[in-house]
Amino acid sequence: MRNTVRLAAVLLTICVVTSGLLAFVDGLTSAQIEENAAAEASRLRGEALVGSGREVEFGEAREVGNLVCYEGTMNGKPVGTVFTAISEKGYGGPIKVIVGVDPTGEKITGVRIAEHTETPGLGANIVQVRTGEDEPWFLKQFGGLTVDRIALKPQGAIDAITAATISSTAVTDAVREGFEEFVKARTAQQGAE
Amino acid sequence: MAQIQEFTKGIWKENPVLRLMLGLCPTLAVSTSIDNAIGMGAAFTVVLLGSNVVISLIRGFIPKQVRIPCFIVVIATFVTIVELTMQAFQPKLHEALGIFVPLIVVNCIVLGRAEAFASRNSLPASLLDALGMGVGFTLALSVLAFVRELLGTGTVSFFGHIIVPGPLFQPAAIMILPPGAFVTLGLMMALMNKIGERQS
Repeated sequence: MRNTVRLAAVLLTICVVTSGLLAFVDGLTSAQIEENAAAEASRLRGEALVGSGREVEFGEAREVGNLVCYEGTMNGKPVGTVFTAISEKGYGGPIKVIVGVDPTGEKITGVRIAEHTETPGLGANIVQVRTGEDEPWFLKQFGGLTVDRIALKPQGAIDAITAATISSTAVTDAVREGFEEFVKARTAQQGAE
Repeated sequence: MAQIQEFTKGIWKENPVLRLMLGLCPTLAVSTSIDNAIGMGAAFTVVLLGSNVVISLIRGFIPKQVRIPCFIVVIATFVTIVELTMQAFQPKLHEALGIFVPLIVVNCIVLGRAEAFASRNSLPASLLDALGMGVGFTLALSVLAFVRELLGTGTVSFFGHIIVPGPLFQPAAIMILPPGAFVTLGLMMALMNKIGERQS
């Protein structure tokens, strides 16, 4: 009996000490981790609107239909809206896509991938950047497209990635479906105002 | 100076990956690029250092019956510290290594060293053992990753610096995929055995 108590006491002591240590480390890092996540999300939204290397300011999140949207401005002028679309049809799991739409709501300004688990070397090429370029070549194809042209060739304007048709289709469909939803919700909202 | 072999054994004679065949899951999974291999190796080494040192220090207090839970709690603590630190200050690396950092908790090399070495040896010996095993693991991963990255993508880059420009040939994507890891690892083990045979 006394032995059992001793076993429990030793394990308990170790757990208490290590938990204290972890709480301390968490206190040191949590602010930085949140900041990283927010900065990364904001950077991707900016890139979806105006490409890389330029600062875009975003207002508060706003709901348009089922989509969470952010309005982007540069020097006070609106540059468009971004929303997030999620595809459940990825090869390795869901793909989270950030879509930028121009201020008129008619054309895509750009697309970025926020999260994916596609196969390295194949499906993961949806975010592959070619040497000397500053944005993924696959996503670049979406820039300036209207809703009817967002489909893989020959129906639309998008070249699929070789050996990664499932990933290419998943991204393309997510962008088109998200955009359609956005246009519908926006029209409904404007009609109501 | 007999202690120095506690360090060197982890690199060659008892290399955790190529000799003891431990920790093969993260080895196969993250050796797709040199950056990942070195990042994983560094995270692993820090955890192993921490756990070996602490376990060696408290080895007198841990009752035999609860030693495994004690080891796991200590290891999990260091893994979480490494993960939080990496997430805060090396977010890119954290993203690339993904699930394999938390999985160091169940990495059999770490638990294996705690059970087989740190819980029975003095602090300096455990420290050297951890360093040697860490370096051995990192080296094995880096060589594997170098071969896979070179043959699979045609170029090799080291934290943004291209060390092998290319592609000079048509890269074989299979080398980046799981089969490439198995094939390369198998060939590395064969080579190690061949050299080992000749030495003895």
